[in-house]
Amino acid sequence: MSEDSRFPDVPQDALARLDVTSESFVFTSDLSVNEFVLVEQAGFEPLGLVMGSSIYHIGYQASNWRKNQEMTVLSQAMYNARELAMTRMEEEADALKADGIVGVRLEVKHAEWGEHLAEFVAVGTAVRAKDGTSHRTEKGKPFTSDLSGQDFWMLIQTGYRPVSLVMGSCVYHVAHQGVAQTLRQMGQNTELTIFTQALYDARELAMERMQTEAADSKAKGVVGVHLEENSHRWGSHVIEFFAVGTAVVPFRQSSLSAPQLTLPLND
Amino acid sequence: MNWFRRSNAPNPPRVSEGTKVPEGAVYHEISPEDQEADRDALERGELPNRVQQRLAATSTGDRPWLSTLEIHDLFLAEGLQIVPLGHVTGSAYYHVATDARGREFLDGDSNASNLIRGYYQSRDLAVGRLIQEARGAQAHAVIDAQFKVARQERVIEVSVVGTAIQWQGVRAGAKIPVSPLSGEEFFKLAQVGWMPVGFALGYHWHVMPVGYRTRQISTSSYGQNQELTGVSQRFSLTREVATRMLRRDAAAMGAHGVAGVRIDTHIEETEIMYTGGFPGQYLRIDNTNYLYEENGVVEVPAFNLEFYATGAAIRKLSSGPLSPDAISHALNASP
Repeated sequence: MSEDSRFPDVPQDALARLDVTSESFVFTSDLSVNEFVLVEQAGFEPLGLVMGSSIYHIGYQASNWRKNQEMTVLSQAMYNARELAMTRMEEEADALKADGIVGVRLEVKHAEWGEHLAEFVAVGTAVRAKDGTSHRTEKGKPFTSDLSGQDFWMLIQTGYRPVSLVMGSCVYHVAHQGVAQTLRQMGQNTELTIFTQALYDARELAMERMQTEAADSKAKGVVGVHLEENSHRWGSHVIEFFAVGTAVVPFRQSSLSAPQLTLPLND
Repeated sequence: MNWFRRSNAPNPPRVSEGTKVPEGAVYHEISPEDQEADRDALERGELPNRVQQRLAATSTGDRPWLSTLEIHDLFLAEGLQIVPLGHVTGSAYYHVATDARGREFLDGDSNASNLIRGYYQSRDLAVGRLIQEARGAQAHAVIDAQFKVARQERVIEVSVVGTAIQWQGVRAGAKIPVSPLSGEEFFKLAQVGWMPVGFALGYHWHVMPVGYRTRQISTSSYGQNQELTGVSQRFSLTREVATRMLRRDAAAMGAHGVAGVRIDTHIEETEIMYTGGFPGQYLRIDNTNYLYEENGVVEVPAFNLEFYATGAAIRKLSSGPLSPDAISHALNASP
């Protein structure tokens, strides 16, 4: 196929599936019917289910038992692997000549068969504007977002458009307290500032990285920010803070009418 | 068949410490001195340095705003004339006093009053920090505040993340209400004149010593269906105390009610150690005589009864939808 050189990262089978010019091309998507209708209403058409994955060996880093410190090797591993999965998904979307990807799900699974191995998967639905306008990012890449079809429709109506799924990760080792310190605190009700500070550092670093990424893609804001705290397999004193959200920019006036109060009677 | 045509594509560069991976992202460690400074700041009741930098850069527009709100929430926010300012957070880890062997102290009524106080104090610390961040961003209120309250052994963790907002046409006041409800719930309440003011907490932990007769009911493997009436009764009392504290907590925030209450309960078997008795003397509990040992100590079987309730403290401001005047008035009202 002629596109080989342009998409070095996409497997042959995937390229066949992504060939929009083929006679037998049918779109695939993981949108529900409601989502599909709303994506259409927003002026977009789904092109295909796109995905990328990365099986990643997470390196080792020694931590000082008594110290609060970032595990930079692990932070970078978690970021890098997600980034690889995302890039591969974007390449698939690129092959479809898509404007962007909606409903991106990023998942991390730990393999049973390898202690330091993790599988990072990114899945979403590639879409294209029906009127032929380009909604690609500043860097000419398809936009990415974790918005559902409903949210995507509403965002477009409010005059914003998604730019990029942005993320930040920080893996942090929380210090163990020394025996003397533990003995001193035993009989008291007191704050454990060493833990609080560790939590603050880890969270701030993850958020800052996400914010920097958003600023890089010239976004004005980040909506639907989720902060996840996870220990994966590193034991109770090593935590990962993962911040993820959709970076957005305004592109036209809001065209939504005022909301009405509707209360369901079954909840 | 060649599945992945990456035979000649090299593996991505190995990531080692110091490698610059994501473009633009900041990957440097926080030095021990900076950590020390952050701890000092927390102890003084201030915020870590990085938090202040983020707030400053976000409120001047140097960095993009962040919001926990979902898209539909943002749309509703537009309808309420609310401007999201940024992400605000607050956290505290709290250690509850124990004796040298890590056992809980009980008060005269065998309530774990230290632990109960610990819950309130850690909540107050975390919320205090959240409000401090919000004030730094010149917010009128914090909405969509998502709370995490967890306890591991004798350490309580409270963390909260929310979105700081301003109302258009509202005068900022001394009070910064915190809404633990979603953006949509906040909108619905605003339509009928109610405003969430805080995260109300009702918590009680009581330890009930029991006699052999009562303990036998729960431990014996045979016998008939039977209620542990005494334990049921005492558990109801625990619930009464916890819900009274929830109401009192909400009232102190100026609320007229609590909405969306969530409840968690826990009952487990344990022992209480009574000290300071005379060796050879008996301690009579629930129709059983327990003998003080030579060191003046006696261990008595007991039940831990724990009741935890949280909800959104809400206040009625007007009969119709909330107006900027009504909100201004509420934010500036004396406590």
